[in-house]
Amino acid sequence: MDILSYLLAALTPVNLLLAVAGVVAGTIIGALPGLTATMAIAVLTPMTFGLPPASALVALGAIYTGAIYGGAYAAILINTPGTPSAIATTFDGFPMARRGDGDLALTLANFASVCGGLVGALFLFLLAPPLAEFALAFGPVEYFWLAVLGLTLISALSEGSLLKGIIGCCIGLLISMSGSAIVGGDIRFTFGTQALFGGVNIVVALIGLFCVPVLIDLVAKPDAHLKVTSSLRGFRIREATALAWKGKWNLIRSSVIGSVIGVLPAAGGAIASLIAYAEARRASKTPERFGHGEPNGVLASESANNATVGGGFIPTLTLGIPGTPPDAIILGALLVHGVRTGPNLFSEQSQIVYTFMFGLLIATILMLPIGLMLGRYAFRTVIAVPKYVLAPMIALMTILGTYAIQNSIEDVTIMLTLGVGAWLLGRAGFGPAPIVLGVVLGPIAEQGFVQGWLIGGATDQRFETFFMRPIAATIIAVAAIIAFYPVLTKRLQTVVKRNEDQ
Amino acid sequence: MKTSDELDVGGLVTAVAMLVVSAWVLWESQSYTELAAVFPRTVALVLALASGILIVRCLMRLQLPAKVEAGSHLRRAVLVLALVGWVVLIPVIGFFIASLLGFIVCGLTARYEPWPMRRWVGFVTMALAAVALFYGLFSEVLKVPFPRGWLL
Repeated sequence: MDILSYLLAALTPVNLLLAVAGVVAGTIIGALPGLTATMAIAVLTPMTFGLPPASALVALGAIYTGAIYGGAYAAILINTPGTPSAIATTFDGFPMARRGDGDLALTLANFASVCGGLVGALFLFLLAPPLAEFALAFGPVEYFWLAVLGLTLISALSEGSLLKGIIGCCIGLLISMSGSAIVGGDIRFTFGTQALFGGVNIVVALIGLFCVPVLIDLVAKPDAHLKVTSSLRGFRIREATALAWKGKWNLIRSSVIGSVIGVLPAAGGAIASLIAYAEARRASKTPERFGHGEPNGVLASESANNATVGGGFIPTLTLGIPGTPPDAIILGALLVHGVRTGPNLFSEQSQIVYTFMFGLLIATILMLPIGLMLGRYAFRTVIAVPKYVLAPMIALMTILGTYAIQNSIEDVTIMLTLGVGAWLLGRAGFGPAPIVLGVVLGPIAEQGFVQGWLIGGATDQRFETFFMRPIAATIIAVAAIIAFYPVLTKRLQTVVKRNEDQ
Repeated sequence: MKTSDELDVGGLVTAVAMLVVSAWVLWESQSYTELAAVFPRTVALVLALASGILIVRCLMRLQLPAKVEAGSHLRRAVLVLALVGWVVLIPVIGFFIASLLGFIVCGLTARYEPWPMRRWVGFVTMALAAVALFYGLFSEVLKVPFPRGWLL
């Protein structure tokens, strides 16, 4: 009965209006390159201070979920992840858009985001306490292996040459190491400039590596940016529904991966979507299609990153440990509203917390119509706008967005340098995706490795620390399966064929 | 093993450059503490190994050259110069004016047909509106402090 009253509390007209406004604002901000979900929440949080706690939390949850989804727009239409969570969406979303299926990719991204968001919210509802304990069992070594698991994606992202993919990933890892060392504090690879003391910001690197090469090639030819079909085909809901139904296991698996990884503090949507993408490719009967406009790639990435929203709230609400930067800001807002997070939250302030959870569910459901409409508008705009408007608009957004991350003109210089470098590397067959993989996973891998090394050394059990812990061993096994599965299946098929021939 | 008639020049040049980079990283990491050096050294060794193998593969013509996008290199160069100029001018003449100029030059780089006067006026007006809209959004709504030069 109580649950019903919480649902009704979340369904008040004011809360519904706030959820709609939050999803719209979040989606638009998330769609702009450089403006992340963190920034969307940080900017809009003060506006919620005058609201009742439950309504404020509904609005913040809606902004967060909308911003994570909005990242897919730029990823699909201009090959620039609007937020780091949408990195894996570019791998197949942009190739789909280039061949004329941008509208379909956007609808698929919408379906997947809603599905992931719902699964994440259900995890939050039903499994919060046990998953919070699971998060606490994750130590530095487990994070290291999680990053290694993400790095196994290189084989999937290396277009044509695994060797070039490995070199690209090493370049990304080296970029991630510039600045102050995570453990030890040494200043590394800064070329004597203070601008690099803080390292290369991930979003700055993303914009440079993905967006600038697209921009450089955009002006080189008079052809349209995206292939345009003779007539607009609406939302293409029927096609998208059929594809989503066909990829239902991929959707569910990716949503669960996103929810579980979302629970881990500091892992976040980028890693969740990368790992879900790797797993979708491994499980696919046509893995060679991934990276060339495979709808299942978009489904995996978008469902996983939106599932991290609900998952990330689990340690935030039950332990007071924010899983991601947006969670940290929402935690701050919770404290402003007098909500004390911790194990007793669900019993002492159940009214607020359950209203918030229902609000998150409602916002996710509202994302379906709102996202479809905004997506269609974004698609129509990008294909209708002539190149002499599109190119400078993208340039303006990249420069403004990059500058706004840390109010730093040096960041814009770094972004441009990386972008031109990525374009040159692209001409030599080194794609941007493995480099980005290195940039994103480098700090997590290094921190986990060095801390694990120290812990193992202190207890004189380095081997046991790295290989014998149950969760670490499980992740190693999964990483090994993902890395060697294609080779093993190919070998097996050859052996079977040879036996049949004989 | 399949061999290629064409030498993968881009792959070869990059691999040689990366070999130099890995040597530099190994050299630099000598001055770091053990904890800060372990990861860069490991990555540099992997990079050196992969680059070495790539060089051998390229020289043996086992590496296929990458497919590259066609198009005008002159326009690409102009766009890069426009972006660099845009960033250089920001501290000098201010974010707004630099962005307006950068926007116009980038737009003209992507123009492929002659424009009548009316189109010119429309484009400059649109550039002014777009830059003003986003500048206003970022500076007034998002409270991003932009550098001001001697213009705006």
